[in-house]
Amino acid sequence: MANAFDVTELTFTYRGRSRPALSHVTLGLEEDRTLGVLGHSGAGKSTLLAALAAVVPAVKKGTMSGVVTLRGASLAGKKPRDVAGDVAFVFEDFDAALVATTVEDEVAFGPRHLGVPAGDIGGRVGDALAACGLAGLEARRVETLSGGQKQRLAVAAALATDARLLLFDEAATDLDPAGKATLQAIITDLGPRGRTAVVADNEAAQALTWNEVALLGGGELVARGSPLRTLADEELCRRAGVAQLTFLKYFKRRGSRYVLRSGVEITPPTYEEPPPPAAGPPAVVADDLTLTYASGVTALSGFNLAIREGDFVALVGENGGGKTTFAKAAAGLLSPTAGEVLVGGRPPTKLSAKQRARAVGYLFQNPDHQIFQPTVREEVAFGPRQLGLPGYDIERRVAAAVAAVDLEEREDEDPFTMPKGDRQRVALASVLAVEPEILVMDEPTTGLDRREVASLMDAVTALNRRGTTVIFITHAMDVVAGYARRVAVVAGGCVVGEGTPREVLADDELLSRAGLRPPVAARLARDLGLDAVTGDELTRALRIPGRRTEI
Amino acid sequence: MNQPPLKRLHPATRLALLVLTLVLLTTFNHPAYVTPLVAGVTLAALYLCGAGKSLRRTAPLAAAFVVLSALLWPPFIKTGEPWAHVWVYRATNLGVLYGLAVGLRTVGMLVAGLAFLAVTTPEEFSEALRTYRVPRGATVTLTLAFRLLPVMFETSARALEAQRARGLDFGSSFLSQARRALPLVVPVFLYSLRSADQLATSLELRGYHTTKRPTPYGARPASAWDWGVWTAMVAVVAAAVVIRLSGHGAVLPGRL
Repeated sequence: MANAFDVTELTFTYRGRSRPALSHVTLGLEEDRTLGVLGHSGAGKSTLLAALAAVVPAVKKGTMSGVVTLRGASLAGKKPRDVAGDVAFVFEDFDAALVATTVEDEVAFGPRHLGVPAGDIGGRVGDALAACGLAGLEARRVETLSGGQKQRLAVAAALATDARLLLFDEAATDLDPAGKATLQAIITDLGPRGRTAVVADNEAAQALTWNEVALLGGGELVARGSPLRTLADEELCRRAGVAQLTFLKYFKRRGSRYVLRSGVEITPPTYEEPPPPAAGPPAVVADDLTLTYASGVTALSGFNLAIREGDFVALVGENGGGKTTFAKAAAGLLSPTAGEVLVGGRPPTKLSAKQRARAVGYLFQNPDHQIFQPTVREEVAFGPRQLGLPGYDIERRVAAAVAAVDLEEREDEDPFTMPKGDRQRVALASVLAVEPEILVMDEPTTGLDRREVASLMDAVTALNRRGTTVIFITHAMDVVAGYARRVAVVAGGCVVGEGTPREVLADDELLSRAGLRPPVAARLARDLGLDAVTGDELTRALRIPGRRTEI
Repeated sequence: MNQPPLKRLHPATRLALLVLTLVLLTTFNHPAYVTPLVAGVTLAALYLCGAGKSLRRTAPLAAAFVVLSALLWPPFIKTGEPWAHVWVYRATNLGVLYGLAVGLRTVGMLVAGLAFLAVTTPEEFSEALRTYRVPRGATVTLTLAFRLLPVMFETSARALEAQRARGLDFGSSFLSQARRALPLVVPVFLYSLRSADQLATSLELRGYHTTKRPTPYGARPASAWDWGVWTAMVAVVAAAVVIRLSGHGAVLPGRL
């Protein structure tokens, strides 16, 4: 039987680029299997998936050599339309790929155009929506859905085509942890249903349930094998720029679970606790805050939270829970319907544009909505210019902001041509240059690889140490565990719990109320009776007698 | 669910209504004739299409456009009795009336377009084009443009929000807002371009370009109502053309 796909010696260079996005990649996958493709930003993951859907080189032009076959048939000279029905693709930029107006029309679009009989379409739509947790939203207009709901919709639309090969390109970036778990369950179930899946991701932990993983680094295939062995290998993970899950080497897989290998000793370590929550005066206070949008959707209802000066707070919770709405209200971009939000004791909507920018800097989730100047320097200088500062001060601030995000020497580059991780850092620098007292970041690490996440969050941690209050929204629980000093859990438009990362990650009831799950290291640690929350903490707690444990 | 009355018509009928309305509005160039037509279109947009929200948003722009048109056309129209002469600016009564009619007519077209958008989804628009056997290439291009409109609005709103957060004060007047929003065209345009590319690929991978006609799903076939509305509208337009050809409804008979 032919493989679901075979890629042989595939090399592809995008038009206008000198470095190949993929270089001599050879990879195949049997039918009904799930392959995780992991690697740093720019490793070639999306290009590989695009080649499997004939998007490369038919739509995204460039020079290609090598052979790509689907079930034994070559894709040479084929266009995406030629593989429609055989291949379904969930794009990284899922929002731009949604084609219809209502949820039901979106899911029905594929089956309708692929000639599925009218009597079968309703069933396919219903099944796909139910699998993705969108049942009951059939008549909703797509633009009224939250980011996470749109991402689920994109997955539902792919499932409804009933394609044999499903390609997921960073398909879980906007999902809350419960949504990620649901997506994992959907993808895991594809194999037994006679479907093959290829899942490109930045997060190594997401790949633990797939049959195999392939690591890409700099366009080359670094390794391919079982998730357990591959992701525990320090050298391979380093070359691919993905988070190494060192602790995995102490575990073996039994069915869908991971259990400790025999002979491994557990020594609970002393944990390095984050600094205690700040005790300064309140920086942001939400008092019984209610906010209803013009569409009639109430996003916040009885939202109460006090954040003190110098704090480093993570806002976590389910998709559509109200995190972004609160953050925008705190930044003065939305006005409360009832209750109040105060920044430094004053409602931010009463401040002038300049006062507001000095009080609260807001980093948007998508840097492309923020960047509009032709060079990094001009982009970063835009905020200080709006404040009417003198030239020398603008220059000083630009230099400091660019240095804080490690973009020195690149001030004259066009930000639109930079990779997403770099664009996110340009956007952060442009906010930092205003030198706000409070920095609010909406899912700043979405779509970034391990190195980019560490670089961005280290820069923010340094700012926090210098006194800036930091509030960040995230679904990445490992980032919460590694950086936040305090966590506020948001669900149903209000704060349902607060505490240190360790307290919150240990509270199962609170987490499940808000659609959250602890990171994989914390889950495995808990099975062993440990309260470690990060991979490093778990690794320090385990050792094989006679071997030295290195982290 | 409570649907606006025009939403119940077949998409092909709605498209025909739009095109015939545009023809009707271009038939006359006298404000006395154009004004009731624009009023009728506006009432239909409000009560038959539920387009109140988008009309409210565009009302200031529409009003400004009518005034500008009434001021800018007169220097190009030499006929009629002189009404105003300030330095090099000369306006005749016919020039002002013609400018007013053109402004109103354009606003009427804008309202008709917004009304159509309020009751028609991109899928329905595509279905309407297929009904009239519009070539596939044109259908794809028009449908993509239709789908990208809300994407552009959304991107613009986010880009404006992002700049406000960095201290940009857009001011309160329409002109200062427009001037300061101008640089934001760049990110909106680039993002829309990228979106168009992605959208086209997504359409292709989901079978949009297969030769098969899409399976009807949840679509109503054209009914007697559709034929009735079609016939009535054609009759109205025909009557308007006859009136115009008989020498009525024009400030300047030689111009459209």
